[in-house]
Amino acid sequence: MNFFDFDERTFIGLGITLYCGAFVYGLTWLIKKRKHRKLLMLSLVLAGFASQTLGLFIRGIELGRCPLGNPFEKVQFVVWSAVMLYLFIGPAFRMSLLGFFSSGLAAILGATSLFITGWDVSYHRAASATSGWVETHAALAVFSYGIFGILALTSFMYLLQNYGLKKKRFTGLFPILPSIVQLDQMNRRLLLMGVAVLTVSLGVGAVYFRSHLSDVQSAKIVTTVALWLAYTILLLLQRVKRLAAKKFALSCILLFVLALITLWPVTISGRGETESTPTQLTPDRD
Amino acid sequence: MSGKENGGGSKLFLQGVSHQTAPLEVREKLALSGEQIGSLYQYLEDSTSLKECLVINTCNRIEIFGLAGESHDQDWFLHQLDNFNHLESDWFSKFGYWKSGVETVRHLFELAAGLDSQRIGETEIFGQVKGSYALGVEKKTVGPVLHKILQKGFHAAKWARTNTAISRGQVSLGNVAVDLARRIFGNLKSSSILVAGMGEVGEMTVKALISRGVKNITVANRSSEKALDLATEIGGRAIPFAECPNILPEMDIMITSTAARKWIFTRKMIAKALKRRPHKPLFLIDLAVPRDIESEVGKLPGVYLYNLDDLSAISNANLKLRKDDVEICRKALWKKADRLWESLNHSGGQPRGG
Repeated sequence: MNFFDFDERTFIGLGITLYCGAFVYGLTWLIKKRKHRKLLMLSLVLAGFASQTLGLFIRGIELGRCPLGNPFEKVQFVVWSAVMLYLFIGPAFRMSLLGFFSSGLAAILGATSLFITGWDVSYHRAASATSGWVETHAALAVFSYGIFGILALTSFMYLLQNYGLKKKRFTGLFPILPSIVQLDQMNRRLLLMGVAVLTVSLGVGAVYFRSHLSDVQSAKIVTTVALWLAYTILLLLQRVKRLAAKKFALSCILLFVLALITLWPVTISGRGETESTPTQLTPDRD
Repeated sequence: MSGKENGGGSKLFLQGVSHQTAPLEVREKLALSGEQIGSLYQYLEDSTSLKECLVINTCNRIEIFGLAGESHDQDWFLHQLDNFNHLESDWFSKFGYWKSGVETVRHLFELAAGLDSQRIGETEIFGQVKGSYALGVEKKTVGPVLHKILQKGFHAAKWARTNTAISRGQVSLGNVAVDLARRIFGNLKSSSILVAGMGEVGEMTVKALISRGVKNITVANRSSEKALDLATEIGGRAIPFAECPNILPEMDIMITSTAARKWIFTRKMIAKALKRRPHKPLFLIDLAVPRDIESEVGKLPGVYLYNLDDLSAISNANLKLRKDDVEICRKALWKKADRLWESLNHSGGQPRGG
């Protein structure tokens, strides 16, 4: 499906370019040691988000399902979820620098998935993939990755602010970062939200897979449940106040890196099993 | 001592240690209490042949201005200080500076105008020099030479404030503390402050925090009467000083500026308080010299410890922009100092410098 003669990758590429623009714009102002214009930053991210949404929408129409079948699509969906969250929480909590960091994350992850053409491979749709349960499960799971992505960013901001205050740095980025208390609160809320969404995702998946045991992909289940367990333990430790804020922030970043890595076993496992029971072939992509 | 014996050739000199030459760890060891300053004056009177002298002792410096015989030099003076129990003369040679003649006059003019201060252009030093001068007059160690230099120095400092941009664009320590508190807590309206001891800078800092919405203020002082007065003045409640460790877990910010000679708040004490307030940051502002809070406290997670040097460094961050103003002011003060020096030398056998 083409839109004004552009395919969906062009729209996604345009979205990523706009995220890059927002990041470079923020970086330039930071190097100049001035505050960037929040409205321009927000507009660039918003325009990028609109273009990426259009691209993912077109692909979804072409596939007849949520586009979550290969690494490219999954990374794009994680980026899309993270940016959407920023658009909700950034302005509401006056976290202007979150836009800068979100656009940076979106630019890096998005551009990587665009340039590695091998990630955007054709895949067969499994029979199970036609189920609304499975689609909801997958979409929620990847959306929770987006939440964990923003959590990793706010955790990184926390560590930066903590470092600046401990090492007595007063210029550049440090004075304009949100406060330690605000970032810590945000981290706790995002973790709770991420764990809740991932729990619902696993619950929805369980409802379907209980009656379709043959569709269960072991690597996918093991990695996702392990990740859920790790985030849940982190949440519990944080709730019983057994984890200092700095260690909590470090753990959030580490777990997100692990979450990104688990996308590969999940995808590989998914691809292997879907190929054995093909029901539909997506258009070939080079 | 003699402000009384002014005849013959004399040498005007200054021996000092300040924030320019010594770190806080050294300065706090050299800081003298009011009583020790009295002893120093007595010692200088009894044990040296100085004709005049003046001691300026603040949290950032100890400086001894003197008028001695023409042949006397730094080695001689440091040797004279050897037997004074409260000062290590070695520290003066290691971290100090020696000036004589017109350099001494120039330094005093710069000092009174705030050019030598940690926060360039601040006005507190003017009052501190005036206070030191009053004490010197009381002790009868200030004679005609130092009297004239100080009076001219005060005029020059006032002139500099009025006619140059030296005090412009200055960030007060109070505002620096507010900015830091905001980086930790964001909105300060729900923050609680414990004020332990109170000096001029401490008061300024508390008032700056109050102006940004801090409402819950507790004042602790060794004298409960003084604590009550301070608490009434700033709208807080007073507690006995011994209560500080018990109340600390309820506080977000603590400002200390006591006259204690050693640490009052140790790492162990703060760590214990933190256990009773997990997940909450603690902002500690130590304005005392010698410091009230053990430096190791700053390494505890969730604790942000700032001392006087740290706040001054931030306050001076915009100094580069004011470099030209500072140089213009310095040149004008030197011109006035040189003129005074010439007039002193022409008024008959008065001070010379090395």
